[in-house]
Amino acid sequence: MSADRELVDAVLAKAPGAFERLVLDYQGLCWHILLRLVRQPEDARELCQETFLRVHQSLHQYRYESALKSWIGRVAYSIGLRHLERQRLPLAEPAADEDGLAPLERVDDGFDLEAAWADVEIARRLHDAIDALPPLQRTLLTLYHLDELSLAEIAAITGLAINTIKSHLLRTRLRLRERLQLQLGAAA
Amino acid sequence: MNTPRAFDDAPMEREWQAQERALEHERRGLKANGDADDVGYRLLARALRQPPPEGLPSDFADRVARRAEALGKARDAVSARFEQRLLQAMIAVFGLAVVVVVVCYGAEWWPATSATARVGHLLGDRWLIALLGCVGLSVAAQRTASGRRR
Repeated sequence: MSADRELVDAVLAKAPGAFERLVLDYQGLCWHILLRLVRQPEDARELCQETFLRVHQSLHQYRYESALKSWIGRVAYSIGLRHLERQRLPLAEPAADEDGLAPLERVDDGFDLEAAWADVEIARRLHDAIDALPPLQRTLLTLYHLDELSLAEIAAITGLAINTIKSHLLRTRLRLRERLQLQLGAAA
Repeated sequence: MNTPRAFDDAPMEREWQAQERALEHERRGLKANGDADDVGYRLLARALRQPPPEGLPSDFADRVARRAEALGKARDAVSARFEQRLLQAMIAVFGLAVVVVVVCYGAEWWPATSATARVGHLLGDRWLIALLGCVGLSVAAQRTASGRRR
């Protein structure tokens, strides 16, 4: 938190290079959030710029109630959501949370992880399946796996309850794994 | 309280634990145990840990910082202009109010003000005589003292 304070103070004091340092520190996180939400790289780049301009304009309102990372992530998430609303794109599939855990379709054990990963077709399908997820699920998975944020940090960014996030992660990963195992089973 | 709690449903909780175990094993680079679920979740974790192929331009931070600075300066200039105009408007309103008050009540105030000015004039004359008297006495005293020393 003291590093956050130092950086924020430097930006507010208009220290040379301070805001650029802030952008460099958090552009990766914002990029992941926005690209996962809106999918189109061009749109995501523009929204990323809009995010940091908004951060620059309203940084004096930051009260250190959460980590700077979460605060900036929340700005990016809000801007991404507004973009989806303008485009009339749904954030999540309404039925995504309502179905219970389907009985798992077990396939035989004995798959080799490295061999499966080396299979270009399987990797491609896996990425396609991730890309085809609704924006909310894609974003939650990315924040949890790629940015390695905790459930509490994701909650601070998205405004969702921790257990809702946990439930989304469980169901999405389960669905993706089932789809993958069908492919692996078919390939075996 | 916004803290994670276990799923009420036991199979769901078991599945969550399996997912988290596979993620942890993948992060630590442990050898896969050959279990199909574990392999599935580890493949998924591996795919999800890959950064997107598209990225931001290398000069993104520099460009955004320059743009933010330019916008900040423009905002400050607009704000300064606004403050100046506001101040001018307030002075104009105040001046107008003074004119209105003088026009409305000036006729009543003028005689009273004139009388006060006359009294002040007389008092001013008396104080001037007193001041001149003091200066004269002081000069006379100085001359007398210097004459005695010689």
